[in-house]
Amino acid sequence: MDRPPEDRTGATAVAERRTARDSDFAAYLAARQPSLLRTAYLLTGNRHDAEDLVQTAFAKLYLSWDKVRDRGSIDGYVRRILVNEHNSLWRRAWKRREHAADDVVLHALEEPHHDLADDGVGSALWDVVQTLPRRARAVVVLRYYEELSEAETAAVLGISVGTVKSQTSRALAALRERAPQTLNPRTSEEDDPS
Amino acid sequence: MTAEDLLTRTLLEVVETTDYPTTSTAEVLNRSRTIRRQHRRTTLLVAAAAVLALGGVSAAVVLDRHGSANLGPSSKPNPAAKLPDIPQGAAPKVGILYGDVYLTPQGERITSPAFRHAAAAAPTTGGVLVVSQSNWRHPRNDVSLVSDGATTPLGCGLPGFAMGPGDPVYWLFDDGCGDATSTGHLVEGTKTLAAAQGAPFPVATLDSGVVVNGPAWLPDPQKHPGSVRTLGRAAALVIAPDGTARRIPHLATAQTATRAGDLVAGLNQIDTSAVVVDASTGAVRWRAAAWTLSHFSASGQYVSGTQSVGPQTSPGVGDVVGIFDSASGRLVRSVVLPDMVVKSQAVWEGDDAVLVVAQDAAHQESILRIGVDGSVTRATKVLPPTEVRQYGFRLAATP
Repeated sequence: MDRPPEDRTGATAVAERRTARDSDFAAYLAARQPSLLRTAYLLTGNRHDAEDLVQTAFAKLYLSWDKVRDRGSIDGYVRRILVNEHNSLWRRAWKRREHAADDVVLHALEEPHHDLADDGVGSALWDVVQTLPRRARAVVVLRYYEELSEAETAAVLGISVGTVKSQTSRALAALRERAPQTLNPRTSEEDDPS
Repeated sequence: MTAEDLLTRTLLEVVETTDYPTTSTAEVLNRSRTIRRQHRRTTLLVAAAAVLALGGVSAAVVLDRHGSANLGPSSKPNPAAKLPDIPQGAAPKVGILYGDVYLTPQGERITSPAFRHAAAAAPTTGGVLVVSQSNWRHPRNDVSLVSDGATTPLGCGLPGFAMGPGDPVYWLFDDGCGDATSTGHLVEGTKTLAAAQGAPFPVATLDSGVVVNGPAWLPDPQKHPGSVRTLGRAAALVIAPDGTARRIPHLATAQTATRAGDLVAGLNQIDTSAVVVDASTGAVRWRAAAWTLSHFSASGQYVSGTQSVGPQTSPGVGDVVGIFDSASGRLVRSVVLPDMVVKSQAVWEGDDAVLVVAQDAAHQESILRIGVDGSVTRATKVLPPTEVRQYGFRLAATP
């Protein structure tokens, strides 16, 4: 039996709303994915984990898409999901899992080779950044790549501004300690007796 | 330049010199559906537990009444969230590794230091073939033969074997274990199957040859001696016993194949989603977009897979093990392992059950058996976190 006309209209309206929502979301995904992948890469250090992280962040964003009324705040919202997912306890366990054998090969083949156009300073520094604890690394990425303020970084990570300051300070100290030539070029020159 | 400026410049350069994969909207929507499904299951379980606690009503009844419509093929209640609470079943019928021990499918216990960091081990002519991984920063894979308590190094290769009715097939580099290795050969037992450049990774043996993942540059006998044929950077190939190779169309990588060689599971070249294809034409038989396919069962009737749900931050959410009908792609069984991470592929015991290495929220570890009938039992004892860090279970080879 056919549905009453008003029901059909209602169903059509729901379908249209869903289509509009998905189209809206797809447009946002296409626009913001490259940028978010870059941030995720800096947080995870490899493309596969970055892709996984971004996919999860966008999936969770999609589930909340209708609740995010202020479209201007979406960037901050999805960035917060991304960082928090990365910092979550289970994700840490997740990343310790064994890679499938062909994943290992693919990973070795596809891992980008960083040939930074400098004297190796950037490469050495990036090596050190990758050894920072997750929270400290997130602070470094948000402060020095995303160039967020201390307050914005605190909001994304859900911590106080004071904690951001101390984490930043500790991260920089660790970087100076482990890559002194890199982060203290002026000091090195001044110390040079010649 | 200040330290902060240098840091910013470094991070910018790192991201600018990296290529990124693209995630499609479909993949994102698939994952969101998986997450939502997991949350719903959790809600159902919590509701069932609450009813049980308050009214003494059987949780199973609640699950049947409300769960059957939503849970699909996973009509049984989810297993316990803690490994010690899962009932102990029979020992594994496939080889497993634990510390220095290789436990054969027949239950024989062989001890060697070569097994400590082994990625794979399998019986072969004259002993047990093992590939051990060392030096995580510059990984190398030492292939050895363990026999009568002695370990004989064979060379460096890749971290896995292709298993078939005969000896395992593996790759050996010709020029040692350094970074500059570029040529080598595929070996079955002690017999060289084919020489090649690159590092083709063998994943399955068929009646008609060996399925490998590229890159590979193989000798081209149709041209003059010494000429090679480039077969692509990321390609799934079948290398025939005479050394000739053919590409499996449309596959970026192969994961497994039926023994008869008619079906191959792997990643689609276009969108890298999991697919099962016709081995000769590459025609896609079916897709399992949100899944990672592992292996075909002994007869080829089923193919196993696992599903990652991303971060397991909610109670009850966990990885999923799935069993598909190979011919149609119908999901015959899916079992959620609440609060657990699956750390291995799903390896078959015949056609009846798959084994996975699972870790629970307390970081305890065990090998679980998931039956086609949905039953879940432990195939090993439970390792406490301290032993997991030191030893850890590994499924020795993937039949």
